[in-house]
Amino acid sequence: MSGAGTGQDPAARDQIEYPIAQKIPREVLDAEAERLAELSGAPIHRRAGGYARLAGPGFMAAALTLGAGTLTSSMLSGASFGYRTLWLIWLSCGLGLFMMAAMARFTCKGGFRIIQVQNRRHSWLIGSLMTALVGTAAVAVIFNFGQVALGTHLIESLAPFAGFSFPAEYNWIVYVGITSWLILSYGRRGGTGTRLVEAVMKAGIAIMIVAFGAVLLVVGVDWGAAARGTFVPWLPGGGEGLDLFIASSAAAVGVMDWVFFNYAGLGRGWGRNHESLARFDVIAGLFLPFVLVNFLVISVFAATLFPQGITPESAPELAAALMPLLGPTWSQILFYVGFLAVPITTTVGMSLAGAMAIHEAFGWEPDTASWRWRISALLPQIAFLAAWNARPVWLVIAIAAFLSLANNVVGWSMYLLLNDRKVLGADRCKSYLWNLGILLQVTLLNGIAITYVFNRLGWW
Amino acid sequence: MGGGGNAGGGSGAGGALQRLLKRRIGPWSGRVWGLVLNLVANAVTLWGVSLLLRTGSGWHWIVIGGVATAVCMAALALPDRSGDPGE
Repeated sequence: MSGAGTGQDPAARDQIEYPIAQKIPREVLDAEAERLAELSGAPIHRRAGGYARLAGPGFMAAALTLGAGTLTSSMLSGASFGYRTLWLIWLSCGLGLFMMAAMARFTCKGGFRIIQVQNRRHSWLIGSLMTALVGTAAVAVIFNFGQVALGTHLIESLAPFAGFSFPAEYNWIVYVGITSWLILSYGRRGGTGTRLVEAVMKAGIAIMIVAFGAVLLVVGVDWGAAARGTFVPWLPGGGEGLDLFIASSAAAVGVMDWVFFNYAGLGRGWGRNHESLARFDVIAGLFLPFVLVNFLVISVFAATLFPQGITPESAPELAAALMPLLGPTWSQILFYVGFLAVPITTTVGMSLAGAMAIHEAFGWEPDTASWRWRISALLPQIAFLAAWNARPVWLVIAIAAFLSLANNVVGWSMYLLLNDRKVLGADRCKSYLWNLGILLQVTLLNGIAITYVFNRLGWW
Repeated sequence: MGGGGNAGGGSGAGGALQRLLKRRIGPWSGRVWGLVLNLVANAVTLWGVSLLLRTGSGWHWIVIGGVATAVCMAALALPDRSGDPGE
């Protein structure tokens, strides 16, 4: 992997080989490079098929993003507003694509680790603290409580269909065991571990799409209302509408996705020739699955709970309220199975992102066989306590506050690096539209920080 | 992703803005100051919205903040297209 063009910071050029990628045998990387070269001249359908097999980090980012929080928000949206907020899904994820394209540029053309370059160019406060420790590692630990709570609840709900009882107080061992095995497989056995985790993430997304799609077929969909909701913008009136717009638009793809895509790409040994693949991965791996899964979930709840005016507040309550409306037992099981893929894939993705971020924050080289990596990667599993409804509320509030105020500054940092001649040389951004897209997302992140402060001051 | 306007480092308004974005002003470059200005403009807009929601007035703040936000974003979106060594 070579560095970027002329005028680039020499330190940025030197750090081009990520240790996790070094474990991949040279012949595997060479074969992938040959395959990419073949595909570059192939017809578009063959290229798309080939890229889909080679892609991975984008699917992992989608699996990470499609967590308990996102899905609960979509379920609530469908139950409260019907199909009318479907347009927010593609808009919010679409806005995030500009920043993800920047991460693809940093990974492939820059060949550098983003947090190290942030530390060097914008201080450790922005790199190690705001991006790595708060924006990624702390979020992984805190948000995993929601994943474990949902995952163990779903296993408990599924067990009676098989004729036995398996309460969350015991089934957390299965949940933590499966996710920990996947987390520790990453980067092992000469790259096959990474491929295994990517395959599981892709399969998880496929299960969500099949399960929610089948359930939607059972409950039926009002295609006219769905089409209007997808293309005609609508928001509830007053502050609620603005809150919904800002939160949905800015939060779909966030700091953790940016960081994870950069490091997962480096972990795959991506270099200058991989940028087209990386962009394909962002669209086919992240954007399409995110939009499709959320579309299906919103539509299921819009078709069932919305007409009845039922709006439970938590994911378990929403799922329980949905069950009597699903009809046959198999569709209930299918919904639970699809739903179970949500927290499992998110726990795995977030734990890996957290481990990568912790290593970068402290300047440690990631060695997936080391105890330091294993402990960092399994740190979010402290969330097994969620099986007893334990939740560190004060920590959630503190992290949410810090995140609200820090995410936009991290966005500023990414925008500045993309336009920094000393970092990317001739590969820096030269497109007005690309910059404008990134600035739109940065402005929405500013909106979150400002409304948070206004809220605290009692002005909102 | 296509380009737009005179975004190079040449003459004219685009060139002057380009130089301003690159110039160091105090601790930061013009680009960073632009981001700070954009944040202030965003805050003014939202202040207007919060006034509107609470008192029914505040449109002027929304207009001032909205225009300032649009100007900041339009200026900051200008990429540095000036020549690189070897280009």
